[in-house]
Amino acid sequence: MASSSSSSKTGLKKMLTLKSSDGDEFELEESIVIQCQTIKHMVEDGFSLIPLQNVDTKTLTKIIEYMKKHAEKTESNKEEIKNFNKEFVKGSFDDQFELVSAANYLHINGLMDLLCQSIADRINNKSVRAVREIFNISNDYTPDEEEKVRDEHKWAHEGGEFDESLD
Amino acid sequence: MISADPPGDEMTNILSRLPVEALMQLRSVCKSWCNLIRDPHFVNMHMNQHSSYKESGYLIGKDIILDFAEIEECKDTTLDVAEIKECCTLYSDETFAEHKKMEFPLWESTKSFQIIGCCNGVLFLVYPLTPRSCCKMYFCNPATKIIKNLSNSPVQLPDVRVHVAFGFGWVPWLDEYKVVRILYSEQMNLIDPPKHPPVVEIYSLKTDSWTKIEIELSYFIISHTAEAFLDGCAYWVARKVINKNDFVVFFNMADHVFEEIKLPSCLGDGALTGSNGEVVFESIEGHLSLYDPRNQQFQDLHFQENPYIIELFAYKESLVLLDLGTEYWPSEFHDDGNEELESQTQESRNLRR
Repeated sequence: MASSSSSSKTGLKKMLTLKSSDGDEFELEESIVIQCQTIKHMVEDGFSLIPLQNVDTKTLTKIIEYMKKHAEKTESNKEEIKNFNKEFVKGSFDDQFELVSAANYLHINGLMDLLCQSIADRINNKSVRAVREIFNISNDYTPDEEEKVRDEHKWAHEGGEFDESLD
Repeated sequence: MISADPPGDEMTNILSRLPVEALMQLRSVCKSWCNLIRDPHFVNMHMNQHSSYKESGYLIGKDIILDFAEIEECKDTTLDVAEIKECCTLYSDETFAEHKKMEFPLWESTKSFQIIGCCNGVLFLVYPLTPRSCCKMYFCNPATKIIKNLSNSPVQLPDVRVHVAFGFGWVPWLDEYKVVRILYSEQMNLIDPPKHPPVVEIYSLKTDSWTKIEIELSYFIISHTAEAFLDGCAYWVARKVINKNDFVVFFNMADHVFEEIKLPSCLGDGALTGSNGEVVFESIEGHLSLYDPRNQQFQDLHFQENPYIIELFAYKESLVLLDLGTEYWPSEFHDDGNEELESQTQESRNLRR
């Protein structure tokens, strides 16, 4: 009985198909997917199969999980959403970077805020060396130049212990 | 993968959420980050970004730190002598609880500064304390510890006690920091109107220069400190001597015009303060009213302010002024107002003994 009522419901809803860069297809209700500004504009232009060349299956699965949960948002389940968000940002830095890149491409503002803030929280108080490692940045200062930049605001480097860990 | 060097949209968004102190340290990561962090567009983005580090607002006020140092030469009577250093204290704007103390850069030479205004995390400081025509003026960002020494105004009066009123703030539609200085050539008295109209000048940070403007003011702007700043306008309380009624005067920093607002008779006289984009009028008894410039109405806040908390300014941490590079705090003040400083220091020494 439960399944027939849910299938009759989906029968009324407009469905869309998202296709990942790996070629996997995901069928979703339009009401869920329009949280994403990029897709919303494509739907308005009449598309129902939406290829996402910049988003792989692993990332798209996570993004769909986010959009489904946030489509359920009401006044009464705020705590539940908060806990979901907390779990959602727990992955490795590399997974988070894939997600933030996809969220930016898809223009999902809420997800962008969530991910950018969580990455900022994680790198706050990290050492310069750890930050370079995490973002795979090579130091392009000469030793003299680096010393000069440090000296300009020496106090910022003296504020206690910096975290050297890479997670 | 996101682009980190040079920073792409995502990286810029992440960095814009970090506190100022962390960003000052991360300038050392690579050249492109150093350039981004002092870029005016990034500075604005950082200021307007909602972030978990910036949920509450702050009030800032001048304070002192007592630094106890053992004086060796008094070997017989080992005394703990307190060195008085000036600093800023941040308070939560909700609970008024002390959040932290912030140094002035090179604070041994920062004795007796006065905070005249605060906008976008930048303090406007005047030295020395007494309003003289030739006082030194600085912009100071206590979060980045950047100092800007304002160029001298071409208008200089003899170094005598005069009356001066300042306004400082950011003019949104010009994206520019400006100061207005209203310089009376006589001390304020509340019996007669000024004998000579004051000299009105505008300082612009973009050009680092002063422009004199031709306006005749026939009244005294009473306070030189407690003014509000909102939407590019500086507010003061002024008094026309003939009928002795105070009124509010505001100066539009973009159009360079003065306008007057009549006070409701119940408010009498008092002072103005500004906080979080609102103009608050405080009567002498500490009774607060809110002025809304959009509908030009006063609203009773039903609040008695604590009379001991004075001269607090709304404050939020920012990177503003970082693009100016590092300007060092001057170490000596020989040619102006030094006498006053000396006598004050002497007095405080005498008090301590």
